[in-house]
Amino acid sequence: MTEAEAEHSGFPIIGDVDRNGFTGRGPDLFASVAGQKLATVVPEARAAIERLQPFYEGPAWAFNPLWILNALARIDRHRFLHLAAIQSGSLRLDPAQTRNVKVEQLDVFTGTFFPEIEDRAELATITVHRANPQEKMKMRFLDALAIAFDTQDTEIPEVHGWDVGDVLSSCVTHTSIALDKLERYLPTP
Amino acid sequence: MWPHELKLSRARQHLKELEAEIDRWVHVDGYSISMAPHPEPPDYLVTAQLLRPPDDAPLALLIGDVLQNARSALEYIAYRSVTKERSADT
Repeated sequence: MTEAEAEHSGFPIIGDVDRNGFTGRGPDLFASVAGQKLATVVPEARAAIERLQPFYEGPAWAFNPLWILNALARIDRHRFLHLAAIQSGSLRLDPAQTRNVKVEQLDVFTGTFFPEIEDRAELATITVHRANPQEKMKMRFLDALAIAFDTQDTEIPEVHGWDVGDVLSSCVTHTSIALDKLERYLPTP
Repeated sequence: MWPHELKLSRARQHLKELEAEIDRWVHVDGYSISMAPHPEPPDYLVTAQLLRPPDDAPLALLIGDVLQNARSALEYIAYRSVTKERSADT
């Protein structure tokens, strides 16, 4: 491998839309980019890398975890990713610290809010009754809020409002799957 | 270990650190929850009050560490894959 080939080598991650907004462009875009990034790689390994590409997922390609990884990593190279608080939608009573409560109905709200604009959010309405009318109710809630990406005005709006931990966990898992599929093409030590 | 395995391992390590930070915010000092009687009894309105907004900088640094290490793992394996040159040698 020459120095120039080494400098340009890499793992392409290609979507399905070209610069002019046309879809169905994934295969041609991959061929164009792979010519340089995978110039020295054997055809079998190149074919395996192509099969991992987001554009193989059709219309859902922008939700492919490798695409999301690539897009978020590109943003992160230049600026911090912004975060927001979200109503998790999973609000629930903590059974360890709830007593004398009969829940008739629990309506949980979902949505995103931004700390720089507001510092409180309504989470739910709950209809409850005392199980024993003579005693006080005790309630504690779990899983009210989560931290999400605020990427509405970026090149990856698909993950706006998504839980940060879930997104990154999915990216790492899919990276691991991709690596497993490619390890057979590593040279024998 | 191959270099790409080390990179992925580092990404996982940073992900654990990030999850611990988020967990602390969610369960310890990020917000409090209060209940107030709803205008229509016996309903109550449950509200969260932010005590500490999710800090962009410390969390974003960890997020970046996860992303860059995972992305690099892919670059590394592409770089290390069998080349036409090496393949011809065997």
